[in-house]
Amino acid sequence: MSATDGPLLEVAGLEKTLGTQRVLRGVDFTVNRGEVLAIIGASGSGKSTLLRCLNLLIRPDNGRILWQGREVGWVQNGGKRMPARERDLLGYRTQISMVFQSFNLFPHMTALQNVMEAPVMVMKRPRDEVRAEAEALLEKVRLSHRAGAYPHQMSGGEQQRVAIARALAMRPEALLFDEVTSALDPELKGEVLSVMRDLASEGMTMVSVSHEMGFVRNVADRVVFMHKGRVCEAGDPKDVLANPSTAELQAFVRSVTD
Amino acid sequence: MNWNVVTDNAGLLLEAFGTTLWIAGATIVLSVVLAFPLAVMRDGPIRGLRILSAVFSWVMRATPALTLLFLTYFGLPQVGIYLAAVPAAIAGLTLSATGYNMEYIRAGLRAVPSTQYEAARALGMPFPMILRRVIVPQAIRTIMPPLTSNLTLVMKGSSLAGMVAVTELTGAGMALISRTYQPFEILIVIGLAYLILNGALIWLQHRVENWLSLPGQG
Ligand SMILES: Nc1ncnc2c1ncn2[C@@H]1O[C@H](COP(=O)(O)OP(=O)(O)O)[C@@H](O)[C@H]1O
Ligand SMILES: [Mg+2]
Repeated sequence: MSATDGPLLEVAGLEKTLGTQRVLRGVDFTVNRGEVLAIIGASGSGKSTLLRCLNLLIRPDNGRILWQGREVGWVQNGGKRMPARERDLLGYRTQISMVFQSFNLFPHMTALQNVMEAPVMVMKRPRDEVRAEAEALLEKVRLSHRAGAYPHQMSGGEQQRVAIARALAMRPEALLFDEVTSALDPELKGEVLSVMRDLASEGMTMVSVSHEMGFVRNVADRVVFMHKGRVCEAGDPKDVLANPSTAELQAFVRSVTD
Repeated sequence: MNWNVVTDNAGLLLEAFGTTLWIAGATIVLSVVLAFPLAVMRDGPIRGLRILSAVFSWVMRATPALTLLFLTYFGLPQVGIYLAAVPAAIAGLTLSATGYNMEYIRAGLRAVPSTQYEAARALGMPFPMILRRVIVPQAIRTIMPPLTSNLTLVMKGSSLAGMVAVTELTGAGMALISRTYQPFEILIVIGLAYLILNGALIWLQHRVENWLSLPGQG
């Protein structure tokens, strides 16, 4: 599909300062098509900020994001590099959908309406076609029976699965997950993780910030460990988690397996 | 009590009722319609518009409604703008009401969590669509009660139009009283008229709130 055989997403030298804090201090990594990349790291290490930069919800101060080999977020204007306008980012965002820790469903819409909203309103696709596809997506996340329910009538696990269906409804090339099970009771994490596992096995490209070490170890193709705004270690999760080479990762692994 | 004073002047009172309805209705509709974009501008991304709407809100709320009314009726002709009494009254009252409405609307818009903007942006929605589809439908529940309560004040405040030669309910009543010396009957009728007008407004608020409420939630 893409013009290049290179990575789907490539990040180089990403920097971001929020307030007075240098949250990202030069982040580099690549994501290949069909790959599941897990991002781990202590709270405050910049994982959420990184994900937000990836779909340009916030704009990095420095560095480059290449999507299918082309830089996003900046335009060449008379030989000068200028930040792209918000409306020029919208198309990109539909290709790299995000799922949030706190679900963020639209509370005034039913599950089905939540899923249909963006395809109908943003992509202007025919409502009937979108409805059929949205119903299929709800089926996929095992929520057909909840199509007419409002978010406040659903459990956290159900809401998060609707949020995943909503993200998928954009027919994205990649999905971003920001600690999507962290807000859930332990018995509800499994249903969300199993949906994510299904997606991974279907070849969906995913970047997932996660503290679920089982998921990271068994589902992720690669793991990136963030520490103080930098990639501290990266590689095959089985190797990296079993034999952390830095003291920081050793400490992190100990803290999450306790 | 002698209700003849009411029946004998029914025509005048009815006409005044109509004028009040027209002035208050127009003021309510205009002030709500104008307040929405101003509220959005007030917290919007464009600095110039933020300042403009902040100054507007401040001036309109700091100035007595009657002063604004005098301004549109007596002041504007001085710069070559001549409005008839009723349009001048509507303009003056609208300026005042808009200043308050926009603050209630703004408070409601701000009460929607920023994560809702974020989720909508992540779906590729442009800002106007986010407002229309995501923010306003949620904010409206917060906005309705204080806004309607302000609109009942606007309804009653329409009596100020009597000060610029408009024959609305209160003004007509005062004229009748000074002619007939039967304040009690006349004031009761006028009171009932305001009761009906504001009753309709509050009924409308409940209709809208019912229509907006989600199943199983309050
Ligand atoms: N809007 C903001 N303004 C200032 N500091 C922020 C803002 N958002 C996040 N931060 C800070 O940036 C750091 C990294 O945050 P975040 O990316 O959320 O980390 P993580 O997701 O890894 O926990 C934290 O120390 C946080 O306090
Ligand atoms: Mg985070």
